[in-house]
Amino acid sequence: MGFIDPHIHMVSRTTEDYEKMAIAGCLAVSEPAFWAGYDRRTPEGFYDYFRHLTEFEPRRGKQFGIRHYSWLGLNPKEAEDLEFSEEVIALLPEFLGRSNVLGIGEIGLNKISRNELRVFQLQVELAIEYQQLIMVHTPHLEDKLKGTRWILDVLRESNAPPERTLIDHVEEHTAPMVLDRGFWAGITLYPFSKCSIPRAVDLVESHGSDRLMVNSGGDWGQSDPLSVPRFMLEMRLRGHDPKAIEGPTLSHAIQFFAQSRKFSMD
Amino acid sequence: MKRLSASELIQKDFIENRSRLIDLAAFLDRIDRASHVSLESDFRMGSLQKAIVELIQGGSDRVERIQNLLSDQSILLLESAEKNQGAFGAVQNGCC
Ligand SMILES: [Zn+2]
Repeated sequence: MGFIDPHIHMVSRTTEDYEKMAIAGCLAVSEPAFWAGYDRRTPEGFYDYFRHLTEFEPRRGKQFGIRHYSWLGLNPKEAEDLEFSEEVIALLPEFLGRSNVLGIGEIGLNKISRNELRVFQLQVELAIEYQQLIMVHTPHLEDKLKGTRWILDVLRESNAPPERTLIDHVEEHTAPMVLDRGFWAGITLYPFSKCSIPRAVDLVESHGSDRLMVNSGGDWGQSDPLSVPRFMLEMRLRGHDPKAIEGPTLSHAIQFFAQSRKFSMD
Repeated sequence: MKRLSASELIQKDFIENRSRLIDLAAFLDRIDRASHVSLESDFRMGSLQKAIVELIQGGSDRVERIQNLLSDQSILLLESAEKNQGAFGAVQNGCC
């Protein structure tokens, strides 16, 4: 059975990880722009990163038959300086036409400050203006609930189309409010700080899997690029049939991504 | 395929969760050995103790109740996130 990992930062993974993922059945990945572990000092730092995501990673994926798609944007951890943020946002239109770019992401909130909120708003507006899909990062741990509430408010006020917006890193206390409003939801399978694999299967069993997809969120932290196939195994062991497993691990991502004319599985 | 029954789920995951429970007990003992101040004196440990009470309350919404207990329920925006980037896993000024 094939799978898609809709949220993984391949820039911080090895080429061996691409190979392992391909062996496990990975057909495609989508990689949102994120924080590098340090704040970039210049907008040009982002320019180079956007080139990396749109030129180098697709080539690395292709070596193993994995389609590589990307999302571009300014992550909330680097969004405190408004002037700097506006300069980075001004770079985005130049890249949005590139063949592997599905939309704007991951944008959202981290510590839920005024400037983070403003930069998030600006990028949602840009996505709507350029008819891009949107991938949203929700904050970590104790900030997730509050941040998700603010994110939903901004998306509503901006008239962002829920069917073209994926809200990521949902957990038990945030998934219902996201799904009830018609958005797509991503569950990040992270060994410690986000959602474990058994809990993700619980979420699917309790809420159904409509508009839900799981991802590894793989990056340079403790994360596992094989989380999605491990989730598939857990679903199988818990008695789910292949059709039910395919939804959150393959077909829902295809349905969501296919709203961008650049996405293809052919 | 048929979904697992309660006894099949217990068979599958009991040992793993037994181990998690003993790990949690060992973590609390370790902190006790390291200091004689009360666990509640650290806001994270205070929240953890409240969460343990929720755990034994029963009901099938334990996860959601604990998630809410460990979440910031306010709606205030930070004036600046500049010197305030990390998350702690519990709310500093108490909650709920
Ligand atoms: Zn990410």
